[in-house]
Amino acid sequence: MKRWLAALAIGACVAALAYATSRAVQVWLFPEPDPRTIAVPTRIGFFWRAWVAFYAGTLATLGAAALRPSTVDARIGQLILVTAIATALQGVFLP
Amino acid sequence: MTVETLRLLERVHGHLGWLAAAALVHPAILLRRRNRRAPLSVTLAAALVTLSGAFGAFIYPSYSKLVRRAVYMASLRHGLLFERKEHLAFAAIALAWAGCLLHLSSRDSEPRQRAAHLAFVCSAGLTLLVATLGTIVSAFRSF
Repeated sequence: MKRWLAALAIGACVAALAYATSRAVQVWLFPEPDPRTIAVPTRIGFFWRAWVAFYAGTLATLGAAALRPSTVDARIGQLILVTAIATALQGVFLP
Repeated sequence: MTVETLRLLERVHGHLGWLAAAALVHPAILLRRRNRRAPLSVTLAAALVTLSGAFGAFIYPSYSKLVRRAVYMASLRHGLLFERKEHLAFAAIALAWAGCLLHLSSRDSEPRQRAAHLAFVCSAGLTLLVATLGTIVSAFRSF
């Protein structure tokens, strides 16, 4: 049970990182049209990114469940920190 | 759905967001002490921030159709503030769940206790920022 809880926590971090990465890639390589020029939006990018992030988080959860608890304990703090910094930087500088 | 209903849901979303920020500060303070158990606090905080996010996601399609363009037309800066809020909110919810799950699995693991505390500190900070940005944008233009 504890193994799966920790794996889900890792999955949540990976989901946040996947969301931030997909948005950063979108801003750099595939910018959306200016919202001021669109009368009625036909799709909502947020839901697509959230879905991709959920998928990546699920895969990461399954992978993390196979890790040894000692490995998780050694790296989980760094993963939380990286997730917080990367998502904050993306949110602020690549909105 | 009528505009009045959407306006009401937007207000509920905003108030829940501030409540979620307060709820996330609670475990961020409690978990400073190692071995402190607070399963109810962490679970309720994660649930509340998720509920607020769910309200936001529910009204998002209507907001996108009716308000988003108007915000951008009136002020590009406020439009981008809304985008920032949306991205940071996703991270805040994910970190809240990471902290909650780590706390629930951390009875005899100090690294997980530390990581859970860090996750709640980051999530609380992001949620406070998101709530502030949301208040600024909704005060500028709403349904």
